[in-house]
Amino acid sequence: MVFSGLFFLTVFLPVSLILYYISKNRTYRNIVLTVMSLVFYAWGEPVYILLLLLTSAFVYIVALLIQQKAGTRSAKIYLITGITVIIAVLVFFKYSGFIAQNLSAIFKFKNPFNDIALPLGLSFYTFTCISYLADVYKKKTEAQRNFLDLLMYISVFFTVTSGPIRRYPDWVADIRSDRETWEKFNYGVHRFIIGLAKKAVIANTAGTLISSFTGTDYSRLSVQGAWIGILLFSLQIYFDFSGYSDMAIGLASMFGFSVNENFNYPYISKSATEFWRRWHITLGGFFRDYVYIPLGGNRKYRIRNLLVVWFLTGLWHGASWNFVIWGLYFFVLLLIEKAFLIKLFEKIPGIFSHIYFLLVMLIGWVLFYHTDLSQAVRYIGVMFGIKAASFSDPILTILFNNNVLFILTAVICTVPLGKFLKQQAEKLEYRLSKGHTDILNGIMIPLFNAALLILSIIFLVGDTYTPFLYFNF
Amino acid sequence: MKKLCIGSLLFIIVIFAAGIINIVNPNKPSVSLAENRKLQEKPVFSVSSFFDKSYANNYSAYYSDTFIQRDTLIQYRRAADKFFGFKKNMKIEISKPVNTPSPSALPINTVTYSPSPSPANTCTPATSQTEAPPSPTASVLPTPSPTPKPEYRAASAIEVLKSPFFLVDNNVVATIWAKDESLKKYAMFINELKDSMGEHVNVYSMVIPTAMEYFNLSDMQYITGSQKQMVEDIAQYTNDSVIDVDAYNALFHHCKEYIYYKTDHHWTHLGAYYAYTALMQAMGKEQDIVPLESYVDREVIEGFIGSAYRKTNQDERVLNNPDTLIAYYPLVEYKYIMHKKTGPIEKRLNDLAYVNPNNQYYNMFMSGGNGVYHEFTTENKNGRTILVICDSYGASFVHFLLPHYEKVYIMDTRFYDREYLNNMTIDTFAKSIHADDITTLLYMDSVAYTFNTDALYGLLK
Repeated sequence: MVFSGLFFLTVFLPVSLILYYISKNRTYRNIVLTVMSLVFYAWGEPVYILLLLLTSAFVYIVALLIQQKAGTRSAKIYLITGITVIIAVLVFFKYSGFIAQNLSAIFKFKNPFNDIALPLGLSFYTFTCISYLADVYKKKTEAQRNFLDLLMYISVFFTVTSGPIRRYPDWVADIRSDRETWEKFNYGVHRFIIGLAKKAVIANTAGTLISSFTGTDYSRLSVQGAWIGILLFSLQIYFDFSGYSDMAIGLASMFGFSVNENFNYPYISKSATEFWRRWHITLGGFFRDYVYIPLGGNRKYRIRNLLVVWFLTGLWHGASWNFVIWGLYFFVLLLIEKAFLIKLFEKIPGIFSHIYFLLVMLIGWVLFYHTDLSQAVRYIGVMFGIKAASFSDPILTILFNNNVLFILTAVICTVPLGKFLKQQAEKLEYRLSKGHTDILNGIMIPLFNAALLILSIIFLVGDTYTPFLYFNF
Repeated sequence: MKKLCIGSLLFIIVIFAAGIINIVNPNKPSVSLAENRKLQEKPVFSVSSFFDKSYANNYSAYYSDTFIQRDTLIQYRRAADKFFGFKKNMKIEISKPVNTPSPSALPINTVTYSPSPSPANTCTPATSQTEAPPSPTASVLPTPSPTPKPEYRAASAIEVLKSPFFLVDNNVVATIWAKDESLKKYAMFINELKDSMGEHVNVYSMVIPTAMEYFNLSDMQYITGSQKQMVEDIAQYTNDSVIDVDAYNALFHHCKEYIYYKTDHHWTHLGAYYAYTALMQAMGKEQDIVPLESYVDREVIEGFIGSAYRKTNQDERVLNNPDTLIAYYPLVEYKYIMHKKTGPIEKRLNDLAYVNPNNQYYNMFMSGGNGVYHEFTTENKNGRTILVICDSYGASFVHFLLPHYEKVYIMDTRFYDREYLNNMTIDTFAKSIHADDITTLLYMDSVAYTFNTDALYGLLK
């Protein structure tokens, strides 16, 4: 089940809200949330829900053991054992096919792991578990004694499939408190609708447009098509993922929890370094706190530590070399920027650094998009006129004209213009009414949200229209 | 804000109301004619379907396919496209075709109807109708040998409608890029069907190219995949025991005639006739082909606006260019039983009730074909039975088969209903009716995409 599915939106969510809010009893509410989360997970992963339950039980016990032996060598052994087991599971499901494929190419044997499917959300909940064990070890938090409460933390449906990656110390205070308020609920609805619209209206539309521009056969690809195609992909991936994060944050808020932000207008960055402070923030934070700093951080072997982090960041995105190359690409960019580029950019107008960033970002997405590296190289070549079919083609120009307002709107939505306008309108209203009215937040934004919700539903239903399925996604 | 704000209230009302209305709505459609496909049926829960995820996936698909007011919402969604950019009716001239078209060899007929040019055609002087209207007087021989080399239709300009639709000189055509995996799946279907039927049943494979294939697009050829290649690939993937019908060339030889509608994705009745000659050739029954001039009794219906109008967001260029639908009447007496979910019902092949503004005129053939299967019993007492496994192209094909069989069964795979058929697979069904011949009859879109071929293959399991 995905948040942007009609079944989730109009059946699962209403049922969960009713069951949840029907009683004020804290234990009841936590149980409902946990059970609904397991239903949500089992709907998509009916077999491997067992893995989720076993992992949770394992983490529950290991954390208690770590706490019991706190400060001793045993605690460290428990921690290392716990993390090793969890990572081994991840490696088995996510990377054994990839590892075996590479080994089989070298040693010529038949890959026995080809058909292993990655259980839903394993990449995310593995990290949720690792951070919990590490935080218990570092005494940042108490180990949870109530198994159901820990299971809720790990399996809760807002974040189990796609993050944001949570930290237990941020979460624990809300487990037993009277966390729900109308204010949080209202905010949650707002965030959810914004996220839904990002996904349903912008990301899905950009996704269907991409292949109209790039096609599937790069011998027909024009320079113009290559640039517009990768621009559309960068819009699709941002609105898809940040939309999903917004929905997760919104859902959490409806149930009284706060979840960390994952995106902060990444495309306004002026360097790759800045981009990674704004893109998938919780993943970067995880690698910083649980890999980079334990390895020594800035103090010793800095370059090695960075290399490890970026190698893992790339690999985490998928079991394929292109993701590794994509991670290492950022490693190199960050080193160059640190060495001299950022200092240089400080001396020249900001527009140059922004153009530089957009260029390296788009090339990065080409690497990310193509699991076949030779195709990626071919694509980048076409972007710069190498082996391009033509500079532009007439059909493409028409397609572009037919969609230029959509593309422009999507690009504008990547910058905080809406946020800025809202602040200006709030100030204006305050000045005019001396603070006596709240038309903007009380009426206009709610109505705007309702319109966005209806629009999203129209797009979700409209996109089930499938007379021709000719896209390779 | 200390309480539920109006935005949250609206949100709750919308999601709860949509959920409740969807759950209680008793009239859930099972077929979408607009999309030319069967909608997802409500899946039956079983332990195995739950654990292999098919239950959850099919249920989600069923839920969105039968979402309340889906057709209306789809219309709204498509209307939104109009705001995505500036629609310019830009026309791209196609640089000089490699072959200049020779004037049609067929005499222009002088009968009372006038299928073209319609008045609207005058608004685009740059283009001209190159196809000749069907000639009822010309004797059509089944591709005589030695055959003249067929030529593509000349095209002078191409306009972009809505991807994947283009307008080539007033003809709406759709680009097509077949998935190799899908062509293989189709071949798997027909190979396994043949294996199941055994050597005494002839199994024919007939795939019909779409209109776009026969235009000479010259330097714009890159906008679509080669259906010739697709047909060749299929022939390669099918076993030798399956007989490939060369409909491709049969239509190619007549591609300058009115064999495809300008505003609809179907072939005309004339196109179906030429494919019939190809099937007869493949069966080695060339001498039995009924000449086209025998079909004197027919309907001529002007002002047909086909499916492309809806699919292109009501593009005016389509509306201003209506088709003429010509429907022949069968030469032999027949009894036609349409087996619907609700039970069998007697029908006629050409059902003029569908010729009204609320319907697609093409649906006059077999009353839209909305039946689990269609059973024809003719006056020929030759004891021969054929099963046609088809899409909507089959509805205008059956007329030509009737002179040769005692029993003709038409099975439009989109309407296959296991419950009605006592859980029979399609090969079991073919055995139950004692079919002597089985042919597929699918237009390229039905075999090019796994969405369709997976469903087709599923009929064997």
